[in-house]
Amino acid sequence: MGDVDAELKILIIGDSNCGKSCLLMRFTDDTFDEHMGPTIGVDFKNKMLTLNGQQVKLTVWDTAGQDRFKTLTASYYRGAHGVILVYDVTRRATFEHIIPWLNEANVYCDDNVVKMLVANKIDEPRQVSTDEGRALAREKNMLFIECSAKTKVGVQQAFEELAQQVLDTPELYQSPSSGAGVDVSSSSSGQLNGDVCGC
Amino acid sequence: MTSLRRASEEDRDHEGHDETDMHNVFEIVDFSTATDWEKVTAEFERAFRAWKLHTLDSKAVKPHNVRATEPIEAKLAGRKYRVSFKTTARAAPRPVSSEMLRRLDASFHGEAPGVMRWALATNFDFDPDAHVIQARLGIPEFVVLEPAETTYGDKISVSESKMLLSALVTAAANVGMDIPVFTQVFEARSKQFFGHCAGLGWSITYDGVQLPVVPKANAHIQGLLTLFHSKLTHLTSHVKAYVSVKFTYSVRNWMLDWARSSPGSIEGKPAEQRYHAPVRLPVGALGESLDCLYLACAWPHFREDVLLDDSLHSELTPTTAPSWWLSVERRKKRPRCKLERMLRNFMELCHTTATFKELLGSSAYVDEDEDTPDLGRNALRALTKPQPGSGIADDVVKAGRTLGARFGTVVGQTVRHVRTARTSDSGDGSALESKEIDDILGHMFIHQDDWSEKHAAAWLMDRCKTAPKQGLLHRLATYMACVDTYSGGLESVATLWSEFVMEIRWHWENLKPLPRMPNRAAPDMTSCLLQQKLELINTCIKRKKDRQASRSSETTDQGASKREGGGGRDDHHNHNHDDDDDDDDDDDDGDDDEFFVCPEDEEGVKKRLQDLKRRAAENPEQFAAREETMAKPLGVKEVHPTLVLLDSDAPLNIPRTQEPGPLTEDMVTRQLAQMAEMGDSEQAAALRAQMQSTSLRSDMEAFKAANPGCKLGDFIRWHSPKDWVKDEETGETGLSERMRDPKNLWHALWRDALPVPVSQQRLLFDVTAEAEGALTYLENITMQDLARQLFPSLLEEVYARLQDEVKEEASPASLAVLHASLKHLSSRLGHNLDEDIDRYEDIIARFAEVEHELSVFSSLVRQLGPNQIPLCEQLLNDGRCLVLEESHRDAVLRVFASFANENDLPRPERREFIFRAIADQGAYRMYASLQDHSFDIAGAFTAPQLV
Repeated sequence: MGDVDAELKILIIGDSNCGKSCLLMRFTDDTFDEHMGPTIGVDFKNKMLTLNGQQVKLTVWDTAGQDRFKTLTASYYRGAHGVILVYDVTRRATFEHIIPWLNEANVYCDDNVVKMLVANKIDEPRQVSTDEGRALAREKNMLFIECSAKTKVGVQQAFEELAQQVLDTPELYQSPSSGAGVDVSSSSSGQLNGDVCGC
Repeated sequence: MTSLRRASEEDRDHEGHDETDMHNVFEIVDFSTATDWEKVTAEFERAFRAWKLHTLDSKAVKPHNVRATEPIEAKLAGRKYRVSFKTTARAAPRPVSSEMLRRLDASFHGEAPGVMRWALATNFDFDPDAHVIQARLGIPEFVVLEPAETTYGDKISVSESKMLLSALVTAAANVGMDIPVFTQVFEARSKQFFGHCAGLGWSITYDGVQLPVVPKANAHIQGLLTLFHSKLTHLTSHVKAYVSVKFTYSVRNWMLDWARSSPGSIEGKPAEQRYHAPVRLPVGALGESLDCLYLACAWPHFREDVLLDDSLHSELTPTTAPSWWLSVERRKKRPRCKLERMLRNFMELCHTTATFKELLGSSAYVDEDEDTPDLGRNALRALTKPQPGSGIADDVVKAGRTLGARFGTVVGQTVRHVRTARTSDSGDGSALESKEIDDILGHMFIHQDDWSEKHAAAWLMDRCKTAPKQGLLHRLATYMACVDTYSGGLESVATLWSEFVMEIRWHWENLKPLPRMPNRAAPDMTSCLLQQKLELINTCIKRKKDRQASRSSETTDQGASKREGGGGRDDHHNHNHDDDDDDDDDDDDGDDDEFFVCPEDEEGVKKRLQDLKRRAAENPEQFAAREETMAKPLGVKEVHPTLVLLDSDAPLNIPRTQEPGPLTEDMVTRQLAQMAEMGDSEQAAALRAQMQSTSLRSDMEAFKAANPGCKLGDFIRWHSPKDWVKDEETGETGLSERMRDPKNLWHALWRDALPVPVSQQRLLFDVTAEAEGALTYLENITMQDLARQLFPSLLEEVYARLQDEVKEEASPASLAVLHASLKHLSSRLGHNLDEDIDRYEDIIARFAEVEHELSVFSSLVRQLGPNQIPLCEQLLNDGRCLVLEESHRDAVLRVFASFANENDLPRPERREFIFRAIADQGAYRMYASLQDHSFDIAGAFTAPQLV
């Protein structure tokens, strides 16, 4: 762990059974298990990435999508650098619920958090078109990518793109070595590092 | 050599310089020094070319591309000099009269050189912002040489100055530029320069003289005119000069009434009344801020024969002068201000590492109830326990009793250790009295008219952790800061805090919701931890109170269901006795908080649970079947509008459920750290799921109780409807792929879940433990931690106070300053004061600036009168303002006259004159400044043509 240049906290939210945990498993372990039980509460996985020659450690927090877990999971939003909002292209309702999830993220996350809209299960018959997803992402200033945890399409790119965007947002991210609060020129230095991100 | 010769010839033309100066000039051609001199001349030349001065057309009005340039340093005879080119935005010269300009142009058979025209210009007349050369001699662009090192003083001798000037002049001539060059002479503060500018067939010499007294003969316009005319050639005696005049008056020791205390302030009140009314933070400067107020009465220009001013008579009447300028000079060092002092004092608290127990002594938290059994929980008697030597104790006790009806305190304890006040630098400084504490607590806990939920949103400093505006902690911060500065310092602060904590405890123990608290489900983690803790306590108070309120209904409910439940329940009760060896009895601490039920029922409930578990373990299938068929729905919140149970016709009942407890930030941080520590292995993940399943288990048990005979599928359809899917091929509905796996935790939890309504479940959120935990946090906090958490709130209060003051004093300009500083500071604050302590210094300084500005403004307004607000505002904004209207002039006149104890303006402190004329094909200008102990002359004189 000695040569980690950056540590980022990423959060995955969205309706239940959209494939949040499967996305994460595909990204971290490159496995796919349709029988993976629904997440209870929150859980996380670590993954190292190399971006522009920098060693970046991602801690990705996976959350339960059920309404009854919301109060529990909301506590873990704070300090996230990036949020992935997942919907399932085979079920329109999950797409329509993106707005409430986005509101949730806006309430509990810090202002500058990078948001990415992810359309999952594109290997199956669709109910939501690519254009609709893209339009929503544009309207709400999010990154957008379509992927399939099952076929692997787009998964790696989604996480890498998000991490890159976080690193490119200086107000949001400060490398741990520079020390929070020391850099007076950066307006919000230390804002996020003050929170434990489980690393 | 031409230019050199010319320079020396001009020197010969000058008067007022002794032979040695002249001699020095001639020494320049001495070969022993020529090398150095030539070198420096070459250096100047290079600089002039680099600055592109030779391309400048001094007559052109349009902007040129030569902007402010980097000065160069040149060395001569071991001394370093700095040469710079000064320029200002170009404008056309405004001559005193266009006729004069025409005549000047005519004498040059076309257009006169730029510097000549500028000698007649009024653009920079008496302009305090202009360079002294510009203000006195009217030239917009010039090169000036000054000493670069001031280690041994900044004086340049006359000979030195002339030698350098000759080098500059030579360089200028070699480059071919007609920009005037100047060298400083004497010290910088004497503002004397030698200068020169020449073109084809003409030259102007700039010269000056300074005397320590005003020669009697030159003490008026007439005398100065004589001097001026003597500088013109003899042929031009008919020439009429134009005169500009400025008289300056000043008021020093400008007495600000800064000691004034604002209305409602706590300053200067006897201790027992200090906090009687809610405090307003005292605002204002603690010392003088303005050094001087100046009035300049000016006559822009008139022909010399229009107004008479000689030794016998003067027609210059300042009160009717065409233009009046008022200006202020500020102290270099701003005085300290009241809010600033308060904030700085509070900042000291932010560095005090002691705990409150240490500050108050060990007795502070010792319960004295035993000693005062009669009082019981009557806090106020203890609270107002007479202090040794306190003469007002009886009154205070009386006052306390009347207060007691309104608010209580569990103060069985306080022994106050209020000793002497902070002596240095403190306001009124006496220690905090009991009566004052009562008053303060009253303002915090009882009166809350000004509290409104809408303030709860992050307000001023959205980046740092603060507390709701007007909320309890804002109040606390305000009073703590007041007590710190005005009522005894650190120990009074400690006393106030311990009283505050006891008050919180009283609210908890008596289940009274805390006042001035936002009503939200979970603490807002953008507020400070202290606020989160208070909100947690408040939630505990409310939940416990709600539960107590619902107990009566629950009991009746249960009574009814017991009767309906019949034999089954009696059955359970038969097993009441054999629970001793049960491993669940770690809950058994007799605390009624862990279950929903009343204490008297608790035993029964526990027995029933244990019984259920035992029987389930013995014979699972039989137990399940029996339990399900016999039971009636329990703990039903409502009937699901559409769903019916899978295996029966019974409607699906939505159960009452438990809400998980609110978490404060430190709890979340701890949980996160715990989880992170476990790593991301599969086992760790499973363990985490197990850890977090209590809420799910509670939901399952409640669901089972509400829906006897239900299946996991029923639960899933309610709890996670997206996991109830329709198979596209068969058209059958069922559990989703991932839910179907019997190995997954949901199945395990479902198998183990017993049908228990929430009213009989163990509480997920133990209000007593949580509230006590939060109270312990309050009791053990250090001064430093407390002060740091309160500091942003205090800053917000100070800001609000400044804003009020701005409104009251009607000073929109200060408001702009305030907003600007806020904009700046809110962007600089981080979440964590520990890291940002220096930034807070910066904020204090900025607030102090605003406070000071306001204080200066309001004192100016008080001096000049409330009708002069726009005037005062301009004065402070721009440093000066034009006074035109009669009424304004009257107000200003009054101030200046009253400071001189006169009815009219006093004698001017300084008189300045500018004379302008053209004669002999050239322009002439002379500036004179007359003060008690100085007589300053500077002039631009055209030399006779040499052709």
